[in-house]
Amino acid sequence: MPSARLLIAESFSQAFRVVREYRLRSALGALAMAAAVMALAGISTGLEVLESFAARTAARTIGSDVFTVSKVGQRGRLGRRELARKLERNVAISRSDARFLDAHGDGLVIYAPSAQRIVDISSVFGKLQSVPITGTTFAITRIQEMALAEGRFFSDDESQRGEAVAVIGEEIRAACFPNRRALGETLRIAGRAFRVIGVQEAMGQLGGQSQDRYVWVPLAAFERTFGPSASLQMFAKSLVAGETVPAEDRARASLRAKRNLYPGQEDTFDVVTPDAARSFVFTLSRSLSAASMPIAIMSLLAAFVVVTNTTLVSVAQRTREIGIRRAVGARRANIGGEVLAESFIVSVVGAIAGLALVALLAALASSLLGLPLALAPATLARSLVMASAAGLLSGAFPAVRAIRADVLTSLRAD
Amino acid sequence: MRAPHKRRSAFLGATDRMAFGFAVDSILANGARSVLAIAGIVIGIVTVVLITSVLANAKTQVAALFQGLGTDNLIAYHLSQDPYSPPTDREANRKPMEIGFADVIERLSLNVEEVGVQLIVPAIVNGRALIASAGRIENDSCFAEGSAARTFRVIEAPLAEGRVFTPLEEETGARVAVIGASVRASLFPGINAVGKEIRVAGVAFVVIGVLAPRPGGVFGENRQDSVISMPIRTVQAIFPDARNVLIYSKTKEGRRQEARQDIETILRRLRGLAPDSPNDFQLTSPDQIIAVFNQVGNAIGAATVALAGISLFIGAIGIGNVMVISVTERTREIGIRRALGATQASVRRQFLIEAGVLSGVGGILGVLVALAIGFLVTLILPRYDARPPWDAALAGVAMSVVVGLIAGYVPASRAASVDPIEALHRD
Repeated sequence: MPSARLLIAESFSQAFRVVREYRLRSALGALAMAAAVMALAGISTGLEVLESFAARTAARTIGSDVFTVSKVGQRGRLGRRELARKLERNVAISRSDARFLDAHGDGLVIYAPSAQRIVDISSVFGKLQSVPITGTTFAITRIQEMALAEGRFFSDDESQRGEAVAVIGEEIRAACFPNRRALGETLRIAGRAFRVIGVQEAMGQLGGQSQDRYVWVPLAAFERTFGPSASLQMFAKSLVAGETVPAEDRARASLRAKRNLYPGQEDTFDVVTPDAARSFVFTLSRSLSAASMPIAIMSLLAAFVVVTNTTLVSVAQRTREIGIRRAVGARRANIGGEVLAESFIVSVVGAIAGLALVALLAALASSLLGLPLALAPATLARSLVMASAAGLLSGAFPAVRAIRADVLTSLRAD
Repeated sequence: MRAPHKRRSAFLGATDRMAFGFAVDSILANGARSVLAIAGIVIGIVTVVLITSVLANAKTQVAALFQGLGTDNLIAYHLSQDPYSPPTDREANRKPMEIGFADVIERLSLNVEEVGVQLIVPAIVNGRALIASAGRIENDSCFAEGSAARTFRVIEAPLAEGRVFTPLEEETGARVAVIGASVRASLFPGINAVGKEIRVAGVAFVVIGVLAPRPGGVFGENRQDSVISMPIRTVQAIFPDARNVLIYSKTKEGRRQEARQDIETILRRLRGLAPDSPNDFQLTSPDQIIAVFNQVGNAIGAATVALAGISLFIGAIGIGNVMVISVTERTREIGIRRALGATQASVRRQFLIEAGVLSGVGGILGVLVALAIGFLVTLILPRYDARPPWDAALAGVAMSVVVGLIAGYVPASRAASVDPIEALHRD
């Protein structure tokens, strides 16, 4: 409708004139909205950084297409009864389970059986207490990204023969081989000598746990050292790009077949998806957001009130002008549109200023602190939409007042 | 004629009372505008007062929770975690304390009055979930511990009903239990609990005592109230999985430091630590735990209050805006007053008072709304105590006035610097 477009264009040009004429007042309204938008966008930006940082760290340790098959997964998340039931009912993953799964991956899934033990380790040069030792196979390198700072991971051949070789995390290297090359040196794990063949790149922390405090050894060597494991944990990766469901279904079907489970009978094992591993940070971020968003919304409400007030004053001050325009033929829609446009402009200008400041601060912080801080497009869009909505809404009451004003009375106003 | 200095010394002199009247007139004359300016401050104050209240109440509760462990006590445990959390990788291989350590500490340290001990039963025992039941009622959020009778004295947990274990019951491992207030409330609602049977993980016990509710808690929940205590020998016989031991040493008055050194030395010897190796246990006092909590809490609190302060800031902008408009509209009136002899200072005061009245009214209303919301929230969600303490309420009103005066300062100065001659020319 051309007339509607014309009306909008006219409203905006009039509103721009008013905003320019009453600079200080409009600026204060915009400042209020800017503060509110900064609160909104600031929180979202902070939380998004937290999440993306966690996702990135998690993806480096456990890829998004990785899942695990184990006797009982996610112990910490189960209720007390559920956990007790599963502990009682579920059956340990044995070596033969592992072999069966491996033999029936069919190009859909690839598995790496693993077992873990926490022990003290030492070298001639230093020692470290309570280090998780993981026994696994070469296949783990196809499941999990193993970025090595030096050396190499153990080969398929070495893992099958169970050679006493170890790949260590950065924290282990620093503690056991301070100021020297670790490659080729001997690491003592539970009294047995392992030759260090690789050192992982430093990865930092995830959820308060250091990711550099791991030792990887061939599963066969692990079992020779600690005896056969009570239950294995199968790390598995979907070979279908981007989809874990068919792979998980295949894993479930294989193990059910191996264990002769009837249709309808419950699984006697757990298949745990990768989300669970990352969910700690997401839960944290969600609860932080739940706690802080209402506070930010309150500031948006306050800004809404302030903009309503500026617009209201604007209408009051221009009573006579509005009356004259009505008298010479301006329609109600013209006047209403103009008032709405004014509060909209004030809010959006404020929002843009606030967002620019957030983006600037984020850029500053990221260059100073080395954090991946940036104003996400989604946050930007959401904040703009919220601010414009608040702007239009705050124009509503003043617009109604302007429209309802009696033309003759308005003309008498000074 | 009064001397100007005398007028300045009074809080509200005659001129100020007049200015106050002007302020009220001006506020009433511009109904909608004033209401909205006040609303802005109300929103800001409600946010700030409510947030401060929730934080302050949570802090008080947490402090009370840990003081409930006995303010003079030193608590020894082999992990830095609390007894119901799994150990971190680093501490996974630490040996638990032994029950016997308590007696050794009591015998060897002259700075310790009495030593209590608790044996923690894990949530899954003998392959079963730790579920307590009485008749058909079940409770799966309870905890079970073995306790020496003297432990109740050491941790200052008074009985509400019944009695604690007798030496004979302790010696023979009798199947008797002392239950916490929440356990009693959930399993024996409205009936007498003492003498009744309670089943814990399938084993029957006789309830011989009920503990009084413990003070404090994290959001109103004190885990100690969910504990079922039994004699240590009983736990050792029935739940062999229970291995984690907490030792509470009640220190003699003013001897906390000496007692700490004694206990540390004794525990290092008992745990066979070499002189150069670090402690493989944690020795903490409630004060220390509270300090750690406060550190975290204060950081979170500062961030949250700052966030809430944004609303108040926006409210202040609203006041500033209204004042700017008010000054602009009344330029002529200011000119007349100046021409009739009003000083710059009195004009400034007049507008500051107007800003103060606006924001003060906003502050009082805001505190009232915050009180109402606080009581309502506490009524609906008793775990989140949001009732503003009186000091937070007073601070809210004071803060709003200060904020209003700051916001009104620039407009008031503008008013004061109005040139009377030019102002009178205006229409």
